[in-house]
Amino acid sequence: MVRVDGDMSAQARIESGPDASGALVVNVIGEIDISNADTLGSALEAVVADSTDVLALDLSALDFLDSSGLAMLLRIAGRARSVEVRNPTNVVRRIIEATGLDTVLRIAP
Amino acid sequence: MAGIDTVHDPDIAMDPTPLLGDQDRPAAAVPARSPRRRASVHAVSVLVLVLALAITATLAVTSWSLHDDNESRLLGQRVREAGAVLEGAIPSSQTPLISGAVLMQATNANSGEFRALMTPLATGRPFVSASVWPTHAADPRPLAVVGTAPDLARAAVATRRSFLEHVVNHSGVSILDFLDESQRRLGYGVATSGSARYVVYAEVDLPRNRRSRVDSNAAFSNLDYAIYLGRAADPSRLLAASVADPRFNGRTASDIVAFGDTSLDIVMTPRGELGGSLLARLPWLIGSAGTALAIAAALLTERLARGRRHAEELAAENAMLFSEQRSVAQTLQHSLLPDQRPVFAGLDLAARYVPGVDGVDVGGDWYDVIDVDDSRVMIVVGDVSGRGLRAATVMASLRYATRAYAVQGDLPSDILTKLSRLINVERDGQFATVLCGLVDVTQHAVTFSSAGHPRPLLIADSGADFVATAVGPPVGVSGAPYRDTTVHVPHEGILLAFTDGLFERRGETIDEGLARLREAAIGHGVLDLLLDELLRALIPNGGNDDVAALAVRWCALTAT
Repeated sequence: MVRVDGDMSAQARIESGPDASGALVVNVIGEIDISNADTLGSALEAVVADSTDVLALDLSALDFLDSSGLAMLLRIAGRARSVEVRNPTNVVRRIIEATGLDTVLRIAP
Repeated sequence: MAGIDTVHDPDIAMDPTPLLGDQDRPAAAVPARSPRRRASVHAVSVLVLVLALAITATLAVTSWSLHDDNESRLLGQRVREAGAVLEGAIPSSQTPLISGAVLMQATNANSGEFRALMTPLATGRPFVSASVWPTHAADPRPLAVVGTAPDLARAAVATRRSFLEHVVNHSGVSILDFLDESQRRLGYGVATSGSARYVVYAEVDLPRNRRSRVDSNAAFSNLDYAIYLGRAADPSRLLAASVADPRFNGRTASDIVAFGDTSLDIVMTPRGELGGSLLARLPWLIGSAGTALAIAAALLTERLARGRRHAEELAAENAMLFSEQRSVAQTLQHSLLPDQRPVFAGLDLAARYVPGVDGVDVGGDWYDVIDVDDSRVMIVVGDVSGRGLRAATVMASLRYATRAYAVQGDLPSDILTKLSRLINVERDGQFATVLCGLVDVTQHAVTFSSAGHPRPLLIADSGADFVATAVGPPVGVSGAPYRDTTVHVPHEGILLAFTDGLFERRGETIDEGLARLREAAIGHGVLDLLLDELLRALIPNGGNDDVAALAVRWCALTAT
């Protein structure tokens, strides 16, 4: 488990591990904004290898995501061959959909 | 956040940055850096040293003075004790003489009686000689002698007579000294009363070398003493001392005890520290420990002062670098933004750019109005992810690229497609949402394409609705292609394009924010008032995010 604290107020931590289907599940818990997006990105780089096949981003516990956080997640998602987003909160889901990102960050049913 | 960690010191004045209206001024000139001053000791360290030494000195002097008082007090006690011991010993030598005097008076100087009494006492201890004398003889001679011949017998007749007279007139024991003889002696004379007919007299030998140590008496073993006959420490009247030369230097104390008709003066001096060595060493301990502490404290203070000065210098540099960076970014951004009142024939235009109150960094929002030809103009609103110089520079690239594509007559979807080749979120870590709208004044139509950007609001008499523009992925994210949507805008309609800073709030979905925006937009006809009212209603205290907003409506061609 990796804990990343921003210098202002955003705090986030990551939990990760493979699931039964072999996808790398990464659980992002907390909030991502400009204050911790970079450090969280570095932490995720360590977890998501360039050779990752399927990356599943579990955003059920992600309470806030701004454009810096979104850019960072897109960058990390590019390291995997395919990406899906699992259980995003309503707020995050609507951001992904309204920004035309649902083709890139596929929201798993 | 990207950039330098800053230490904000309110005492350091920051270079005032150029604001709107100073767009022609180049980026702030770099002021000369203050040279690092080397190695002069800070006044505060010297002060700490002086203060600590002063305190140490005071404590050392105080403890020395306490020690000194203590030693004097103890010595005084010892001397009085010695005096008491001496005083206690005197009667043992004098009492038998008084008994002898009474006996002689009663027996008429019976020599047999005298011998019987005195023989045990006059064979060395305490007396070397005991004799009985007549009181009123012209040439006094001893009537009986026990032990050695008394020195008094060899004294001049005047001496003998005056001494005997003195003994008779003086109650108690009278002392006669023979301190000038090679064998020094003291004589004690006693008579029963003023009418006595006899004087009993005894002599003691004083130690030849006047030296006698007080042995095995622990109370006085660390003291040297000298005992004088009389009330003063007269060397010619020294009776006994523990050292060869009793002229004591240093601390002395004396006590005077009665001795017959005269006195004994006992003078003592300590051989070491009466109060123990700790109290004597204390001033030195304090002095050395205190000095060491003083130096350590001064060194620490100096180190802290240097550290602080270094930190202040660093902070000043940081603040300067930061304000440089900020002013460059602000200059860049402010020089990029067009007029708040762009002009195009047939259109009424108004725009606003409001930076976020977080305000430390510049943001990546922009708007633009680009003349395509006489009857068409491209309106653009964009939002680059993140903040700071990185966002501002990406924004500049996109803005100018858009202008270039727009003046070539590209459709909005083509522009977005081309923009999306300029940046790549996986490589650059940034994306941008962009809305392009090609406004055709003669057709009263607008062709939109959106790259991840919020749909524009169309405000008409019937209400306000978001334009059904197709939304593609943001610029910099590869994916679905962009599509154009053409909308007919009624005569009185107002189109409002904006960035998400205008409506987004933490903790709610964007739909809730958009609904609020829609409600607030209804009922305002004048563009400037519309924009001001929206800002007032939606972000009264300023938001964290930047806001760019652009409002367009048709106007009669004859209007200016």
